[in-house]
Amino acid sequence: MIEAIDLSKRYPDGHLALDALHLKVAPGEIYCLLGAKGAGKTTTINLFLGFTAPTAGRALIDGIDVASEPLRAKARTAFVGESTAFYGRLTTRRNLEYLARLGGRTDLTNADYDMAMREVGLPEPAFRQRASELEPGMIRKLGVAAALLKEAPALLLDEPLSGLDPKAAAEIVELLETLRDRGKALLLTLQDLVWARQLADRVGILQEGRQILARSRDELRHESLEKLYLDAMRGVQRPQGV
Amino acid sequence: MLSAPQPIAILEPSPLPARRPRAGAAVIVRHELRRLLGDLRFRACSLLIVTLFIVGAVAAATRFGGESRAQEALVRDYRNRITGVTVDEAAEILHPAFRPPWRLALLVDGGQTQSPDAATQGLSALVSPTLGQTHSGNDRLPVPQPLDWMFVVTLVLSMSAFLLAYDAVSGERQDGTLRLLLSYPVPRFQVLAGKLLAVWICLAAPFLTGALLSLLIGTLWGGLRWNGEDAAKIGLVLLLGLWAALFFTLAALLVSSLTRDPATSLGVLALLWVTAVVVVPALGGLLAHRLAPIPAESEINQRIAAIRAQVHGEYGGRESRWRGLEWATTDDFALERISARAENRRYALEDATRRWVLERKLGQAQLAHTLASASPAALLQDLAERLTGSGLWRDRSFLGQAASFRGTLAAWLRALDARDPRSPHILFFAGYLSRRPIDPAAVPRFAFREIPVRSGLAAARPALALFAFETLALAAAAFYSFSRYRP
Repeated sequence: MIEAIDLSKRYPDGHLALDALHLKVAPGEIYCLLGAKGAGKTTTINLFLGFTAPTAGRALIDGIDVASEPLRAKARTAFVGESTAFYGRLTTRRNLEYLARLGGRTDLTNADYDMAMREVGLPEPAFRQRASELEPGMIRKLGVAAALLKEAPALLLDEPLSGLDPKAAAEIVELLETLRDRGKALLLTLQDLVWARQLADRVGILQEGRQILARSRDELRHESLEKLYLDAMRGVQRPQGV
Repeated sequence: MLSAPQPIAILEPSPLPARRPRAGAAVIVRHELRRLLGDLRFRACSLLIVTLFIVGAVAAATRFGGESRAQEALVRDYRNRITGVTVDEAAEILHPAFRPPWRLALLVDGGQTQSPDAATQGLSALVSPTLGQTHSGNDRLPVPQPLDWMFVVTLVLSMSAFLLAYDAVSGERQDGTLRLLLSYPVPRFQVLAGKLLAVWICLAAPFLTGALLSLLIGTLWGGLRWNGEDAAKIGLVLLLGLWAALFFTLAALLVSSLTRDPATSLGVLALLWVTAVVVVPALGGLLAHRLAPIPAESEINQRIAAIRAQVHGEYGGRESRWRGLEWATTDDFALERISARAENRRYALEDATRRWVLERKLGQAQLAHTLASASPAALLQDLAERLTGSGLWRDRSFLGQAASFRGTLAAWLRALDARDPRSPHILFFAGYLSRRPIDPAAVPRFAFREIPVRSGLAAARPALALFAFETLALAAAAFYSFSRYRP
């Protein structure tokens, strides 16, 4: 379970990056945070990862307050980011081994790493390739493999489809749907409304740090997400929703 | 893709194992070591460190052999000169006191090859002492930097630490791996400690290898023989080098944790390196030159002239009346005794002036050292010199021991002269002492006593405390800065 309660972040320069965010992502659910650049999406992810402390409110992972118990919360969180890179000089397998050990998994073998990479659709030749030689889509898949090996119930994904070609993006989307089906709680930041509509069980739209709209999948059956988004950006008043 | 429905244990939803690594720092050390060992930077730095150790050891051992031979030749020459001489002739012979070549020069040269290592002095007040070097060289050549262990520590190890660690934090941030790394349940202090330890190991390994090779070259090829005291000093310098590696790595990690990109880290560290290694020591010398000037030659000459005038005044112009024995015996050498007292008085005053000039020079050098110690590189050099009893400490010790050697010689000659009833006992003027021959084998020999390690440790205590404080402050700053670093 991923939960934000009145979560706010104001930087020392006075900039309010996030204003009283409320959200809840249950196991087996995907929540997409939409918004323009600078809307507060990455700040939200950073708050859940404990990279920055909230100025008000709480970020909870499985009921654990990230600010007060960051390590316990991190043990239950996996992260895949847009700019996440791996150690380019190491092979994909060695990267996974390192990250798995950081996550406390010392019981895994090469066969396990290979299996994880196979699961996310990385081709066999990539297993021994250096991470620096991988395509962006494969890097993202490797990130998902690392997240899987961590066995975290909560996944935070910051723009996981950004910069991918449509085929690679579709493959990642498929992966994320499978993770949801396996009971993971996924919080995604996205800019692509088409993928958001397909993926999200719930969406929230952020603008200048404020959540100005939230909709469930059922609600979106009767409304156009694209229209909602554009209206929200233009400042058209609508009920905020769930 | 996930189309294969086969259940795989590791990927199955689990009842929240929430694992946390037991030794996150150890995992990071292993990873960082793997990364660094495959890096060209590590190989280049290691090669440079080990090569410098080897070259430095060969140079020091060669120099040691050359200096030893030069001193042995001078000792042989001295033995020839004192063979067959009488007591009164021995009073006017220049007796040398040689500071032996520095056995630990390959560790801490401390300027020993440039400072005077031969003090010659006669017992007669009419003979002026000299202070010089046993080995000759071309003074038109620039003074070469000694390639000793401390050169490696202060210049190369510091630079290597900066090169290996400048991107440890800012580089990972730029590469995008830091966010991933910090999303794992490893405390940040363990992350930084892991990086610190890995870089330190990468510095310690070539340092220790080079040091071992250096000692082997010194022993097997250079014929250097070390005693227990030397072994303790070698151990202390090794520890100091390892400590310095930790210090410089902490500095690099602090800068890396304060900057957002590795290029800036490297730029800042390059500036710091130049400041610490070049600018501050140079400023220390310049400031010492201004704050504690040494007397000019003209000032010394004026003082000498004043001393002569003073003695002339004190003795009313009777200070230089030396007669033949046939005349002197008529009044039991009355005039000669006055002249001898006057000459001895002049010698004592001039000797005090010489010591004052030397003290001013040593004081100026000490002040330059102290001022330069604002730089950690110079502080380390100072620490190593104190711990091993090298540098100014050895110079000062030699001058003190050489001065007291004159007293030993004087007591020996006085005793010989006293045994001769026919001697007028006018000390120590040739012609007015015993004419009996001396036994060359009985002439006291100068034996330089190196500064013991216990005294070195005592002298190094304030500098050790300062360096420990600087290390702790740096560690606190680095860990605090990294704890607040936004990935």
